[in-house]
Amino acid sequence: MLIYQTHSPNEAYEAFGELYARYSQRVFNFLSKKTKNQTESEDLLQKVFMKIHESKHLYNEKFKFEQWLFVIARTQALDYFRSSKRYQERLKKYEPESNYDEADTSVLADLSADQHELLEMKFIDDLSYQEISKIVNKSEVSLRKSVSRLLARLNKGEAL
Amino acid sequence: MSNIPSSLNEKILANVHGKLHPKLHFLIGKVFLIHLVTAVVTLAVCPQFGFKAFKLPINLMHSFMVFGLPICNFLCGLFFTATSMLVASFVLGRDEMRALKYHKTLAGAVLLLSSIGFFSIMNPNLFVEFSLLWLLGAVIGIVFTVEVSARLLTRNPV
Repeated sequence: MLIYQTHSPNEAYEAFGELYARYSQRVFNFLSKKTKNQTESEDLLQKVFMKIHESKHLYNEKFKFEQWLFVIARTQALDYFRSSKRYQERLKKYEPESNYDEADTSVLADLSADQHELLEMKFIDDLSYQEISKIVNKSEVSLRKSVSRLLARLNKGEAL
Repeated sequence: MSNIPSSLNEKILANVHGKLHPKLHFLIGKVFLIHLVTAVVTLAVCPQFGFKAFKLPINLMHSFMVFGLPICNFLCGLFFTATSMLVASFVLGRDEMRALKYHKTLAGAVLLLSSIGFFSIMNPNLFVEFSLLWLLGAVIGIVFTVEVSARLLTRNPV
């Protein structure tokens, strides 16, 4: 990554090629799983790697490259979904029905941003615990515990 | 899971290659235009050509002259090109600055020859009065500013 950030254009291109060869298929599989559509996954793959290129100066070596790459992939996918019609239609399916208890939505509103994010990744983005653990840098065991604890509280309707 | 089409791989790699290797004539053209604008502003406040379009509280030429003519020439050259390159580092993209770092000899030659040509037209005797120290200052101004800007722009300082 350092070569890609600071060396000559030729060396940087070679380094990018290496990163692309190493991670593109995994990113593509991740995107295909989210979109379930070949064309959308291809568009997103292009956006993700162009975003990586444009943001390369922001990469911090304290974090793993893979982790940074998947955060970008996920953000790009979410941005894309939010602007697409297909996603709006999917969201409508999850809209609360008219007799839905207001107390239930207030419980959701009390969730912290991290808790929201975790539930969203698990149940809307349909990511596995392994994938989430790479993104948020927490163990799979602790994620499983957090999700089950959140679900139990949501079922009880407790404020969190 | 399906594989990525090879045409898409090629397209992504070609896009990044294009960004890392901007067309040289466009890049030098941009640098020349930036230098042209910056030089006009610099010269507009310099009393050397008698333009004095703006009255500034600090007279840079007189400040440089305190150190004597040779140092004044050196500092003048340094300031003249360093300001252009500094403006360029704000206007150009990160990849363009990186490319410029590896083509600074060509960019510097274009900047210096165009500047000397302009000075000769404005005042044919002026450049004879300028010393090699002006040229040295101008070269250092280009090399130093491009190196520092490209290093700062290509990596997150945090």
